[in-house]
Amino acid sequence: MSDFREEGDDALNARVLPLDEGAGPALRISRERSAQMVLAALEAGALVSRPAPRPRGKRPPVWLMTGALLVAGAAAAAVWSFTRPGPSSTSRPEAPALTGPLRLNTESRRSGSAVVDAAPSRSDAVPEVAPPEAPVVPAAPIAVAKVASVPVRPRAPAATVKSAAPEDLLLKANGLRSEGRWKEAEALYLRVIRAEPASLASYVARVASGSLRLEHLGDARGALRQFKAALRIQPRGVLDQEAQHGIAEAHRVLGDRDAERGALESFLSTHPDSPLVPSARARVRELTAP
Amino acid sequence: MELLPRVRNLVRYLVRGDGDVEDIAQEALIALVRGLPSYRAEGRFQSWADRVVARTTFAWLKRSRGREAQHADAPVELVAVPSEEAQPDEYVHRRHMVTLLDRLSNEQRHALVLHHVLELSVPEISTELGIPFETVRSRLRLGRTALRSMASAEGDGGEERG
Repeated sequence: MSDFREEGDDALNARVLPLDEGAGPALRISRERSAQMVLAALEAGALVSRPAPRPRGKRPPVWLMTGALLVAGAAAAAVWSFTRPGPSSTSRPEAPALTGPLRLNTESRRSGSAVVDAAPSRSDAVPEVAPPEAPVVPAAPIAVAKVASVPVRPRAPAATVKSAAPEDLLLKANGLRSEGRWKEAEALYLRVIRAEPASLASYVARVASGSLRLEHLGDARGALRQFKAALRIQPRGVLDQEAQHGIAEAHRVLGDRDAERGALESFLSTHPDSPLVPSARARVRELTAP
Repeated sequence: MELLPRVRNLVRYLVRGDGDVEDIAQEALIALVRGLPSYRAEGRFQSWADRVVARTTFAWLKRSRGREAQHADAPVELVAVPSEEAQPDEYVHRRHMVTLLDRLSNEQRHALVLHHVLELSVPEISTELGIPFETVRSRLRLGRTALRSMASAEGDGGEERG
């Protein structure tokens, strides 16, 4: 590609800065997490390309492409995921499968919802989707902390989001959270939950709310409720790992050792390849020690 | 799926520390999915994808400038994650290289990565970053010098210790 070489290039090339599909320099992540990231991207891309008011007649070929990608991604996920059943309903555009990815960036999915927010700047191809978690922090209280990683726009007064869709609220909540505005973020998560209690957005909001309560709001009991509710909504959802581990952490904070051990054992049996496994095992040993 | 490691690796080359890699990589993946229809099969797919990832990363860094400053002093993650698939030596080498890059300024780092990792020419980098040709050359020169001096300092330290 380069026809212009700089003095000293060879020396540096000898030092080798390889870019490929091999290990490093990025930290390793689990296969499950990889599958989640890919599926989240596929679905977010597909949803954005979906025409909002559903015009009559033809659909753009973009939709076909992304639809095909979605199916391919689902197939890949089926291979990659160890514990969850493969998504079987990816052809249904309105209903993400239970094993579907974390979607935080859909824009007013429902055509009828008036999004007052002026925020969505859609043409810059820099979407705002938060990944579920940072996986390589075994000793951390809960790995779902990074559900909220979307940089927030500087101006995002709460008053402008009154009629936003749950996904948009979720996006804003994540932004507030990344700024450390825990209570405001929590308030938005609760609005998401109230708006569509059984939706994927609500599921994500419950897990995020649980981790917020646990880590920042000093409400372990409330966290426990949220995590359990999330598991009820989607028993094997994309954030199952975080929710299960969160339950264990909440029990730990509450001082209920038996419940904590039970939660950790359940977590270990359903997520044997999680990066949190070593710390979970160590904690179980602690709890079972005489 | 196959592209993900490459995306994450490129993001890590471009940003300091590991903390934001997953977030940026996720955004980059979505940018790739959304950009697929605009991909014209004129060049290598990987080259196109790399540029999308680099642009997404730059946009992310621009948006979160303040936040990144907060993390500037955060300790660099040096723990190698064990894996049955990773080749230990190569992984450790790459981690080492990127920790050296972490000590450079973002400007020098980006110029070096675009030039030596993505193999963009100086004019291409000038266009990509929107900075003058001579500035790119200067950043490359300074970045290389800094890397060399860090490497030699480490070498000296190693010899002294040995």
